[in-house]
Amino acid sequence: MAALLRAMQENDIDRALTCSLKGVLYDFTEGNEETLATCAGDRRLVPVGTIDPRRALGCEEQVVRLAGRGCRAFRFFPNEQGWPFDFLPFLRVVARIEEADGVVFVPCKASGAATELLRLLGGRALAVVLCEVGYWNFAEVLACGREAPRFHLETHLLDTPEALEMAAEVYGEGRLLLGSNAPETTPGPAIAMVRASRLSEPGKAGVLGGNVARLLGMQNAAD
Amino acid sequence: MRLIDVHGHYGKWPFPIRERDADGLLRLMDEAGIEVCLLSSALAIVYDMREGNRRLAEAIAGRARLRGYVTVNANYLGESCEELDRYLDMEGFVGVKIHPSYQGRSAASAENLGLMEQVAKRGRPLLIHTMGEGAVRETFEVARRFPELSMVLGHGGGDAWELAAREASGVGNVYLEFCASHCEYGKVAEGVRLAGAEKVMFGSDLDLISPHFVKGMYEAAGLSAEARALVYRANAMRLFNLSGE
Repeated sequence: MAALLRAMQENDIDRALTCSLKGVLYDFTEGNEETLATCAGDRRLVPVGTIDPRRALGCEEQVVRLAGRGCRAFRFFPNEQGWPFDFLPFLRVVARIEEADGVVFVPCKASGAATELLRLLGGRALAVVLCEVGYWNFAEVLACGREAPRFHLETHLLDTPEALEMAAEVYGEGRLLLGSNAPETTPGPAIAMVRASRLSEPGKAGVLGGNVARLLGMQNAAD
Repeated sequence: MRLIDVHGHYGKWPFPIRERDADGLLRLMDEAGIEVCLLSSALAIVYDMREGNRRLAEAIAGRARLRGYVTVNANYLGESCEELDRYLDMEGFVGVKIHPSYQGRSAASAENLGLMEQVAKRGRPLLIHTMGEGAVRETFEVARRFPELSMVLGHGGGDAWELAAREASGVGNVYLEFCASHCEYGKVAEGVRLAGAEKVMFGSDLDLISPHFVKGMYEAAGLSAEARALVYRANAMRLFNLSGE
């Protein structure tokens, strides 16, 4: 936690969506409790729940439990846990998140992932945030964005010239969300890209916090 | 401070990146505060060495802020030597570029050693794409074998950047630049600490990667004014014998 808070302070980040690594790599119930407890003690941290659908036992109940405690963001880690998106236990959890009016955050780093997510989740009435998109699969993600009005883009690997402007043409400025992957990676480059972009000033403010605040029903990051 | 960017490209990409001519590159450099950019041809790296070098020469001619690397390829030693002789005496070309991954010949392969011998004879610095522990170890093997050849490790070894930075501190002819999409927390600060500020340069990988992005990574390092002057400008000016504004 100290490393995350230091990265936030060094980069003038007011609030961060935060998820326990314990929930990713060991046990999501323990990890989510750790996340909730940590975030409850620090207003800068916004809790993100995670669920490992391989377990089956207690997965859907965990969604209800977290939602009942004010957690609306759910992040999945199929690469670390070794399961595909086209995986019924995952899709059942997503259905519960949709019922709870939650938001799904998924990695979208590999070619083919966005197309698969479009097929599996594009028709659902829930917001899906595609994370870790880079230049190698940007074309695919742009194509998918035209067909999925509830898909959003996390920006920390959008590092090509005018990537944000191109993303905004398809997704709109309101569906771009700053990410950092801190404390593993440094937030500075992603923030610099937003600030140097030709997005509108309100658009930049949205990417830097307003959009995710609206999406999750948070108080504005500046409050 | 106006930056010297030692890792840029001229050409097209198979990704959603708008094509830039030389003037377009200059506009991108202006936006990011880059005074001079050292370019290699994307075409020369991935497909046609000769045509790529030719197009690059045409693009940088008469534009002092754009300098060139001659791209060579260890699979074609004779033709590479011809390219070196054709361009290295031409105004605007300041170094040589190899990309062992695209060319399918690792840094210390017999083919590359033969090529390095030829590059070393010509007395110009080499920018070598270096990603991963194996590549770093091989590249330092080459550096020790040719101490007269100054080498800039493009991407600073990638995920093996700590190894590269430690090694660079003790190998006089090796320099690093750290452009990457994946920006490990503290990489530039720690890389400079390990290698020494006199061994690190600014490289952006434009216009594959936005210079704003990579500059954001370097700026996050919180380098001292003295270190910034070396990393952003002085080291490259000296190594590539550039004259600034």
